[in-house]
Amino acid sequence: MQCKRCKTYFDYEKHYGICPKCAAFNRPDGKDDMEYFAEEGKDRFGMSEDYRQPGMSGVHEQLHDKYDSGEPHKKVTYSYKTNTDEKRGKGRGALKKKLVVAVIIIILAAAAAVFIADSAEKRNKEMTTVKDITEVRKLRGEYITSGYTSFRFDGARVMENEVLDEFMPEGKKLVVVTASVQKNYRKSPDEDTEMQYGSLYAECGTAYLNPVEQYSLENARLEGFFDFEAASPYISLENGEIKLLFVTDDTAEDIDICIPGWSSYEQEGIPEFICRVNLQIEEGVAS
Amino acid sequence: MSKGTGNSKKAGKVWLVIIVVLMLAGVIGNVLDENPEFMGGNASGSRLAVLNTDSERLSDLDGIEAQEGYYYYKITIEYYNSGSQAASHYQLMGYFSGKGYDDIYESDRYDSGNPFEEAALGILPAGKSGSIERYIQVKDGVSSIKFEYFDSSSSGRKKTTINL
Repeated sequence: MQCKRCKTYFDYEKHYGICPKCAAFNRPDGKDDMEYFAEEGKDRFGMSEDYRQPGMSGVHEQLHDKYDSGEPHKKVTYSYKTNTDEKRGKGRGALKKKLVVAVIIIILAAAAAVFIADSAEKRNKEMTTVKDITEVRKLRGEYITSGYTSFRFDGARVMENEVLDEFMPEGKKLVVVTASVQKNYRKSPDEDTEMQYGSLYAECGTAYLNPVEQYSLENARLEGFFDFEAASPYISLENGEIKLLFVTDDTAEDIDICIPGWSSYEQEGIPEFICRVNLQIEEGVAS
Repeated sequence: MSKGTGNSKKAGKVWLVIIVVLMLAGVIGNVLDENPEFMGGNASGSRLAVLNTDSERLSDLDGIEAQEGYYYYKITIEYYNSGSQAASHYQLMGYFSGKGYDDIYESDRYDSGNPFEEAALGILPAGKSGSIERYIQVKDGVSSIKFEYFDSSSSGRKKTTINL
């Protein structure tokens, strides 16, 4: 190799990189080595392709012939970067990534906001558009069938009881609606097509009323005054008579029992029809 | 030194991922909340929407004057129930609020525990529209109040402003 300081040529291996003339230490340049050894037909360690270790012969030599005949290394190119350059580069790369992520998030959020606003507007429009519901008039005593169950409403009477009167709100009266329930297990149910009924309610004057619920009677320790089973808005009893209690205005003369219905089992959305049974309220019947 | 920088970068990335996940969760939550039908939320429950509101200042309520510095108001709220179940009276009553904590007194809210009083209160069946009247005391000088009600199908609170 050539000394960097005094340009004297000397053997690097022999002098360990120290110039014999000026005593300067010379670090071997990888690039120079590669070029130098490539020109000389040697590898980077100074070994020529047909170099054989002393004393090597026979099978050992054959194996060397077999495995030492690889392609010479590709030329190595070197580029030099300072730590500062590297940091700057990395910093810029990271900043770019963050910007891309931020832009994606902003786009996603904007798209979601538009989607939400649009769906909210549609939903609001749907929720405020009053739709007409078909009403099916049923007569007192007529059977209404839903799945396995048939039921009919037989009448409405005022319930009078001195103890209960204390609990009755001013200007109100307690009306008992009697109904019969029949289970028909021989019928093959088809849940997808059978008419399905939801919870019933009463329409009395301008008011929509729920029946007095069993649990609220129990909470008030009043269940003992009633000899009937459940005051439930759901018709789910076995065969027999049920009685439903409604608190109506004192002046009410009739009451409509309404049962919302759907043609599908899922009962989604507003009812498709309402079965309505009008009952005259009979006065003065004690419990 | 370099290890610390690496750790802080890693922590930064983790925070970024957490923030993105939370944002997406918030967005998805909002979408699902606003559109319960995505999760089958439309299948049951009431779906209340306020169609109209009205307010009327009263000199007294059944001969009883409001407390000093307040006026009685009759607030009428008209609803439509586009759900599959009836909305209870308590759902329809909702809640009023003002800018100040003492702007409003909801003196008509009580629960007697009497099953017959409860049954006498109106409901709003599925597919029907109807109105409810509330009598509240509002502080003098308050020009608008918020009305908040619950929609069981979306389990979300909905707010509307009522000008007095």
